[in-house]
Amino acid sequence: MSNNPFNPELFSRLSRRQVLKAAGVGGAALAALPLLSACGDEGSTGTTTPGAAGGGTVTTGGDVSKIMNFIGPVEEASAGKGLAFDMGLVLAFTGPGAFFGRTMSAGAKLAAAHIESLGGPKFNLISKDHKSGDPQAGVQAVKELGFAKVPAKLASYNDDLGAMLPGTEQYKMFTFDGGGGTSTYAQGKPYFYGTRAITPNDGWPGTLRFIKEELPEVKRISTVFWDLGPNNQINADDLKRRIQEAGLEMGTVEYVKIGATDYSAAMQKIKADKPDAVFLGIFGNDIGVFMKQFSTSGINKPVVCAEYTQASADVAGAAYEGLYLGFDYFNAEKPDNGWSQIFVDEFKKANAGGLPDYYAANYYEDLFGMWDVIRRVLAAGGDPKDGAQLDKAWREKPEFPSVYGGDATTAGVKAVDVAKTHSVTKRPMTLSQYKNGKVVPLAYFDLEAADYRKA
Amino acid sequence: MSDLTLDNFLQLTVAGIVSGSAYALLGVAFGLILSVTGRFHFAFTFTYTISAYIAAEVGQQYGLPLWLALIVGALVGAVFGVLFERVVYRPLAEKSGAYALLVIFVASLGLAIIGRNLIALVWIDTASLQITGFTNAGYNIGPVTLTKLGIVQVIVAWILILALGAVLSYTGLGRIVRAVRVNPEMSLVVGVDPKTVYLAVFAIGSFFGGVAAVLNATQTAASPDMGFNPLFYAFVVAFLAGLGRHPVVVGLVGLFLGLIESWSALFMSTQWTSLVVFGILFIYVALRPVQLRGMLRRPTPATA
Repeated sequence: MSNNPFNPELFSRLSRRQVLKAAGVGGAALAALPLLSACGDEGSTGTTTPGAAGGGTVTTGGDVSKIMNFIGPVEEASAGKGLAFDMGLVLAFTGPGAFFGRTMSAGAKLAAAHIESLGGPKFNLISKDHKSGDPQAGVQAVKELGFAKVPAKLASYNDDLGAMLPGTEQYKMFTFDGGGGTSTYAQGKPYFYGTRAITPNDGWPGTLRFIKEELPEVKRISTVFWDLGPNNQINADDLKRRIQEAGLEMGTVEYVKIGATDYSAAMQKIKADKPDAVFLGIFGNDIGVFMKQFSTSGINKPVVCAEYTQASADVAGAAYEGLYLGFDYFNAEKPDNGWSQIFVDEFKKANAGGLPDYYAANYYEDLFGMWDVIRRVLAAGGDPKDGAQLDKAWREKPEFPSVYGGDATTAGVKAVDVAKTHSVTKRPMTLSQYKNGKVVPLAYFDLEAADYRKA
Repeated sequence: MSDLTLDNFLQLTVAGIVSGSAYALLGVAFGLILSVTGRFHFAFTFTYTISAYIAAEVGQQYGLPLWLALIVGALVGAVFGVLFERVVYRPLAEKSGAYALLVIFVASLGLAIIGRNLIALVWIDTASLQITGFTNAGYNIGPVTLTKLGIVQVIVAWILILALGAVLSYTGLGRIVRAVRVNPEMSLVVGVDPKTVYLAVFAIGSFFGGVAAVLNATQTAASPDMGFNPLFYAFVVAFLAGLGRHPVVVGLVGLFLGLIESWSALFMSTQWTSLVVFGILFIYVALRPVQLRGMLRRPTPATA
């Protein structure tokens, strides 16, 4: 008999004790995986909830009741008090994007606590891990939620890079994605709505206008995108169109794996392309890793990305200096409206003084958006635990109050196009630059560079 | 082919030497453990990752320079490697008899998964951890850009590989290790305890892996998942070189893989370059299936 450990004969001759012993060690590990990774992320949320982003505790009180002044009249009869509502939370809890899952769930948990204290339903947030863009994990997650008849979910990574979309439709699971939005390839899909700007695409027009006006030496732009398989060409074509509309030249497009750590080959191709600026369609810590290597590549050209996270800045260290950031940035140090100020204050209390980023803000307001839709169904005498009814109520008035925009006494409004794109129709965005360890706004604009103004 | 220029070739060659040297060190480390002990040490991912985290942690806490943090981190990785052998693998081997290979493989897989999640839990407040104490810089030589870190990576990797090669070839310890690798039972007859040699091999292999990890994390950052990809590269290099080959030969195979992978960017999109490595492995296995036979040695009473 050969020594090949994978010999079927060997398996058949193993005693039960030996198999159990092996399975005991390995199985314990496998069993521990979801437990360990879900630790602190799962469970129902109430007025006192473990905070995911720092082990803090979500408490309610103080100014929380003032939120009612911003979210419009809430009829007590249709507020959903006492209703236990299962809400899927399919995020990146493990893998290279685990940071996203923590901050997004922290925002959602804070919202759940606030909503219940305001007389709304008790959201049971059911966390599922798509492992930072693993399509199979996403498909499994939506299947499990579907079997459990969960009527709605908050998702990320464009419904896990599009893989969850069929399940979302099959189980009529009303979904908001405030992390990745619809991107270009998940537009108009049933039950799925992107509640943030299409990223990075929606930020390009305003960014390109800034470049035209402030960096006239930039003529040719090279790009680095995450490799999204069949969606690569859609993204590249969209950027090419926008660059050409701006009268600039599209250079090479390099695709890199999500979570890549070695960009030397891509860097050399960019260098050979002789660009005047580099656009990044990569996210999370990948930006920090890229910038760390870019800073010593000898390319020395402006880089524009479409995200800011402190974790990514920490990875890059000094290499982050000068990086341009063009996206729907949530300014926690100077919140847009009174509600967002309350959100920031409450988030800091729950997370040891840590400021919320825009992912936390998005999932916070998206859960409030879900509550808004639930109230509409209840007011109409319907069943809010039916995803189809939630979808119908949403499509009749596809907007809800937002922590973005507005002023001291008025919340902003998040509105979505339900006819075609299922993406936001209006979204305040900012082009900033990372200078001396701070995000410094340079220009403000909306979709298609509307309302463009310099900071 | 617009990418096929001398400038591109030279820059990619430099990049290939840097990455290939890292693969070489990984292959030598993993191959040493596998060839001498016959243990498929999947938990190499853990010793690799924990080395980077410890180096980052002590570097930040105590303001250590990179070289000192690297030694501390790699030593901790070595300690864990020895612990795994002494506390997990050896007892399992003793109790599992002829089926120890499979049992240890499953156990090491479990350790790797547990270890990854424990690291994520321990450092839950930070998605990744930075190695401080080293300021990278770029140097332009004609069309080629070298980085200080890249130079350090190459020098450190080859110093360790050459040192191990010298130890194995010219010292008493090396003769003992080679003896145990060739015939553990016979070595026991002449007074060499294979179990002690196994511990030494786990220490050396884990230390080398830890060094590679710290240098890699200096280029990027320490993260819980950072060990899995290097494990595959380590396996491919060790396998292609052939188990039991001299460290320099193994290292040269790693260097060759790094260069091939980097040069492939001349002909294909960068996201596919890592597939070249696995393509080479596939072709090799298809052409030389006989190598599979001697890859793992069944444990004997002397080694279990």
